[in-house]
This record gives sequence, C-alpha cells and structure tokens, in this order.
Amino acid sequence: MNEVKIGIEIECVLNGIIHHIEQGDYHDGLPVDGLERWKAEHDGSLSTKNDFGRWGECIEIISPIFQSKEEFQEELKKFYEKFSKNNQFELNEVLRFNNTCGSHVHFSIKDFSFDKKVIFAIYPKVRRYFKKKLLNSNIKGKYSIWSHYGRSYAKIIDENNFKEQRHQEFNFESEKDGRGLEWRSPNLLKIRTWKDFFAFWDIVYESLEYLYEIAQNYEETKDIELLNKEDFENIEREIHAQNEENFIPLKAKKRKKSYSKLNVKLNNLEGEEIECVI
Amino acid sequence: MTSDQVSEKAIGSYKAKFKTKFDKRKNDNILLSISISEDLRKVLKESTIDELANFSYNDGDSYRNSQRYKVKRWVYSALYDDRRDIIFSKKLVDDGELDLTFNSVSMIDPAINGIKETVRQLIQTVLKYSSIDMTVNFNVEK
Repeated sequence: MNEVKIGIEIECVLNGIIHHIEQGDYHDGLPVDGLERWKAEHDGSLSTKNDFGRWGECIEIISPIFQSKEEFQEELKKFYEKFSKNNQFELNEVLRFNNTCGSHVHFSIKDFSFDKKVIFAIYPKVRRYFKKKLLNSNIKGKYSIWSHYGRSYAKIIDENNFKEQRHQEFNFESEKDGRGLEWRSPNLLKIRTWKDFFAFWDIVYESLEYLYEIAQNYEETKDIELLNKEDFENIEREIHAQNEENFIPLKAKKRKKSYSKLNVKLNNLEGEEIECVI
Repeated sequence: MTSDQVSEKAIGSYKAKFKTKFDKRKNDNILLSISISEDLRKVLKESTIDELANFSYNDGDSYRNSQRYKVKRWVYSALYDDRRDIIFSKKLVDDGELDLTFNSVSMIDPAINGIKETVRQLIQTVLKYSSIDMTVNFNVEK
C-alpha cells in the first residue's frame, strides 16, 4: 500500500499491579512511558467487568500513525515488549478485552476520500473478507470476536443511512474530521495470547490492503425495472382517484343566469340598450 | 391515436441498466453508464421534439453541462423531479445509452432515483392525458 496512514486504538483493561500507565483525558492522551509514540487516554464507555479484580484499570491506548506494514509490525512489537515486560507476561496477565472493549482502526489514502469515491457495496466486501480470514484462522475465541463485530458501538452499516452516524461499523464522520475512515468493528474480545494478538492484527492489516485495492478500482452493475406491473396498477389507481376528485356532478354544472344592463353610446345612437349575460 | 388505442393499458418493459465504474489509476471520476430498454427509449423519443436545449447536472463538486432534447410542453410540465433533464439527454434518447461523470458517489443514487421517478411521472402523464388527442404515441404491450 502506498501513501497510506493507519492508526489503531486498543481499548482494554490493564492489570494495575504490573503496569501503571498515566492516562490523559478523552481525545487528549498522554504519552505512554517506554512507548513514547503511543498515547493513553480515558474512555468512559469502558468497564473492567471485574477483570483483574480491584486492580483492573480501563484504558484506551492510541497508536502513532503507521505508513507502512513494516512500521505497523515494528510498533506492535514495541507494544508487546512494553506490556509483556520483554516476554515476562502473557497477554491475559497484563491486558484483557471484555465486551465493552473495541479496537478501532483509522485508515486514509493520500488525496483520496472514501466518503466521496467509494460506493456502499465495497464495505460489505471488506466485512466478508475480514470474517473469512478470521474464521479460517487459528485464533482462539475467533467466534467471540465475530459475534462482537456488530456491537452497539459499531453497528453494521445499512445502505440507506450508512454515512449518518458515528457509532457504526465504518465511521465517515471521522474522515471528515481529518482522522481517516474509522473501522470500528474489529475487537480483541477474549484474545488471551500474544500469538493470537499478532495474528489478529495481521488479519486487520490484510483487510485494509483489500480495502485499499477495491476502494480505488471497482465496477458495479444494477438492473432496475423502472416500472413494474404493481407500479402501473398504482398509477391507474392514482389516475382513477384524481378523476373521481375532479368529477363535477351535472347539477353543479348548471349555472344560474344573471343579467345586467348597460347603457352605451355608440356613434350617434343614444341610449341603445344591450343585454349582457355574465 | 384513436380512443380505442388509448383505452388499452400500457405495460411495456421499462428497464434500465446502471453500471458504476471507478478506477483511480486512470482518473478521479466515477462513471455512471446508463442503458435503457427500447420500450422506454420509444416513449422518450415520442415525448420530445427535434430541438436541443442545454442542461447541467451536479457531479458532486460542480455542475457539468450536457444537451437534451426539448420535451413537449404538456409532458414536461408534469415532471417535477430535479433531475428530470437527464432522461431526455440527446444520447440517451438517440442511442438508449448515456455516460454520466461524477466526482462523488453521493450523486449517483439521487441520479438513479431521479430517473426512476421521472419515468414514473412520464408514464403516468401519458396514461392520464392520452385520452385527449395528444401527440405521444404510446407503445402498448400487454
């Protein structure tokens, strides 16, 4: 992929015994100690759901902007080194992902607008691609991830109103705000190992590559019957109803005659009387 | 047209094929290719007169100019969709095919819906007023 920008947000519950991360306010994160290009911020929509007991701490970790696959993988590796404390801890010992947590992905292509250039049909294709890759993978808990894909904060988009809301599978408002198209459905629900963590992000990256390809080159054909038999019947009914409405009974058509008299002078004829019917 | 002819109800084949195509490597435009059925083309042909007028349509960023046939007044006055001109485009009436260029996909569905609505109004108008000796010969198939 050329000239792309990718960013990810990882919402999770942190084990406060092992890590202490200072968090900024929502949309005003603070750099993570030892992982300076990443930021941590508070997100009120998250709940610990008793993960790590009283030591559980909800947190949203925001990545830097990645511009290549190498950079994406490199930064995820740094994330792993930081949170596993150089392979001392398995993922589920330091981070957990419950059903309040999502992992949103921001994606943009230079000089390209998803909002302006991409038809609806492309997005279900990306969803199907992601699903196929995920369910064919060896990730444990992959069915949980898929069942959580269309959660209330990432509702599956509908052709008739797919650009009107933020809390849906693809958020176009984010692109208008200059933060790229936001894909809100990926999530790490029940992922417990670093191995599955990396496998998951590989699938996400491959899905973005697929989106990159099909968003910029597509063809769609629709055959539409502009008028079918039912339309004709409706038209006939409408015409019939209009004719009924415009129908004037004979009695009403009978006009009452009225008369008036005008006195006019024409040439030398004085007092000529003309009867007018109005 | 005789009154016997117009008393028959018209159920022709009014279909259209819409192909949306985009290839960023070639250019940044989205192409909407429209092709219509012969029945519909004939109705359009009969609804127009052999004179041209300019019209423009919104491509999402600006307006693009094109040419259409002038439409018989009694027909045109009954069509009120904002995109009614597209369907009387010279190329569509002559060849049954038309390519429209857009800069934003947001304009594609309104264009398709506009065509659909205009066809509905057109046929309704023709059916409604064809008992008067109008000049549209409406092709009848049942």
